[in-house]
Amino acid sequence: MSKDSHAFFTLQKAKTNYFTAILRERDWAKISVFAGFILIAASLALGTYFYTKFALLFLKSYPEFTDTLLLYMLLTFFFLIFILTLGSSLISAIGILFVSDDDDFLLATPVKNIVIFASRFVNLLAIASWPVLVFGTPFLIAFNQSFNLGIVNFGLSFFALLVIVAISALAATLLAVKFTGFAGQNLKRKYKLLGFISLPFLAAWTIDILIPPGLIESFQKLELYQIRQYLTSIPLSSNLLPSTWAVNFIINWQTNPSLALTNYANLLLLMLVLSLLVYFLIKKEYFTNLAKAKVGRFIAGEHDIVGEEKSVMKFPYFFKGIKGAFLKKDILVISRNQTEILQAAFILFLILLYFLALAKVPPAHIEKALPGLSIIYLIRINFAVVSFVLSVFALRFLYPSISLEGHASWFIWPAPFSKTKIYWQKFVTGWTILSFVAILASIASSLILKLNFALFASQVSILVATSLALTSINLGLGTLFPDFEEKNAEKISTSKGGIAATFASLVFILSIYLLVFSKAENISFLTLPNLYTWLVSVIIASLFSHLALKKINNYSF
Amino acid sequence: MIKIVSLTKKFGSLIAVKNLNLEIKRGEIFGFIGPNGAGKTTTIKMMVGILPPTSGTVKIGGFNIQKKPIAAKKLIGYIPDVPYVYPYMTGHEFLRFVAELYEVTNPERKIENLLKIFPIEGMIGGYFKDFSRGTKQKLSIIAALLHEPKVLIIDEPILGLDPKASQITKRLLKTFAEGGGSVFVCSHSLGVVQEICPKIGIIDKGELIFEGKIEDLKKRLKTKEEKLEQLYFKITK
Repeated sequence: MSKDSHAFFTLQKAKTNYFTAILRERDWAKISVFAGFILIAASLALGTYFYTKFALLFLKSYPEFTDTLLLYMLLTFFFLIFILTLGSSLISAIGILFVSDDDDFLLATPVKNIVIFASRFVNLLAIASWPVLVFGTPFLIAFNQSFNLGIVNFGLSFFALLVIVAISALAATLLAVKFTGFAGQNLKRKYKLLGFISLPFLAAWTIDILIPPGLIESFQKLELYQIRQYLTSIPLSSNLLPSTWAVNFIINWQTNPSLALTNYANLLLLMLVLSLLVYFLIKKEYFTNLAKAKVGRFIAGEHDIVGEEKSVMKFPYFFKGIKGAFLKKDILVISRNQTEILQAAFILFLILLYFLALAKVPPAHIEKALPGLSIIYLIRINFAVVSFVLSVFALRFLYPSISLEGHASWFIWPAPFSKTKIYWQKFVTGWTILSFVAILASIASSLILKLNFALFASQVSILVATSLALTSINLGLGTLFPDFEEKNAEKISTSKGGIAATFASLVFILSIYLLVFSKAENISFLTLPNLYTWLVSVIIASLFSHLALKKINNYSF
Repeated sequence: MIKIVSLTKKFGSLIAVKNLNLEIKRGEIFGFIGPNGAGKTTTIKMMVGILPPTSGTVKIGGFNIQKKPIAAKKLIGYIPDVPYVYPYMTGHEFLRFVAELYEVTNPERKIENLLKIFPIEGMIGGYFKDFSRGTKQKLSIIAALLHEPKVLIIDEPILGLDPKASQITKRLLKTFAEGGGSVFVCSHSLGVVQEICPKIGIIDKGELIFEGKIEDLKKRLKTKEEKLEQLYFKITK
């Protein structure tokens, strides 16, 4: 084994050692978290498998539609996998490749930069491949079984998905390397800004590709052979998209093998070209850009980062008192953290994506396409989607918020004030933010679905009550089971308590959905469903807050 | 000013601090030393009210830290061994934040005055994540003094400080004590302890094995050795 590959495997082994140590030490807290994740991923994978089987069975029962709808289904699925892997890679690339705690240590060792990069790139690939494992593989298995395409087709299709992951990770790496070289010292701030600006455009572009203008009308107006023709002209089947090449390979595998293999070769060629580009760029720029990301642009002298004579920004004077001080601190600290902002933007992006899709399918079209579908169904879906996104937001930002104060315990807990004030500040802020998002979502859905004021008010009321419950569940459990050792908010959110908070939130959303929405034909303002949601939310808020407030003044550090 | 009575802390079957009794009067600087894992930081954490004792009491200025935490905490300035602060907070924002937590009146003037102790005015606009260990230590010392405490409790006072800043810190602690304040210093830098602490306590395996002046320690060990370091090795052997 060469020195470089030995170094590469040593770096990889250091990462896997972490997992083996957890098993060896029988760290049940962490083991249960991993088990929880595997359970969630397995549930999603099983759901995808059975749903795909069901959908394909349905399609096969209408042979005249099969070909056309199958093509659209495959194009949509592969495009979504491509977007998800690309999005994951873009979000993770800067963090994994350029901002790591072991930078200083590794750069001082005689390990080649390209080896350090390769080790980190494997991480990026692993993170980017989650959509393939959770959605892609079960989809392909179901697809393969339904059409008896054989093991060779499955193997090649699966490999095509992996190539799409590699293409996404390589493209994200190219962007990250060039961006780091350009941004230098202000890397994080500029990346945050880029994320903010690009996400809405990416969302709008994704929706436009998936549901181009005129698609729904075409399904209603055109003959089947015309729809098939129309589908080949939409952006989703553009020959510039790697996802289209993968689909062209699958659908032409039996009828036109040479066309199938040409498309497959396109995928491999693109991966090869990107690999070469990345290789040369990394050899040339990785070390310099890594150092730039770490300490700036090497302008030695008195104006270099630490020690620079900066104009002192006064701590803002709004919001007085202890709670005000914590609120100001939270605003400053979170708004400056690229990871926090990008993740908040990503979560909000999910809502945006949903509403952009909803706007493409106005109720008039749905009623035409699926007669009898009442507006109440759309409101129910609305509730489910918005509540889910709110619960993700609460888990990511409210659950770890008390744990993160633990690191500053040396000056917060010895300070002379009741620590319940910290809880209430986070409670009010959390509920306000979730309610704000809920109200915005209600306004958007009301405009899109042309709801009357009573229905709008009812949606606002139910979602604000839901926000109260989700705030209490996540902040409450985060206070009851704090992790003062961990500084990474994401890891705190995915701890045992975080998994419990996720389940509690989902149980709450599901129970409200089943008990309130599934039976209601009228959810106008101040009707029973509304009152019921408020009653349950207030009980949950009282219970969790009572327990959390008892705990917070008695922490040990 | 500080009174510790029968203080005990158990973590399961491990007794981290066992029946500790200490009294530090106004104007005293008390050095608290001992090997790693002896119970020093556990004692300090109980003194500042962030770790409840299994039994016993800590009184600061007559207030029991467990029963009257707010009143007792108003009198304490605490400097830890690892002063972690939110990475994306500037030095100045941190000092203003601490001032608000302690409800300090006229904070800007006090910050301005305290910044004269260490020449770091030009740096406090930077983020904590970019600060050196020494700058963080200087800021934590300034933060501890902002609300004009009567008691300073310090875990490793000069860790990461350059020689000049160390000298300033030692002088600062002496001035603080001369002004009537009490200082509880916990450190592995025995030279510093010998230089600034007229009275010391040595803790080993959770038990106080010596309390008094360095002269008393010499008498007890029946030695003419002057250096605290050598005396420490003998008593903890």
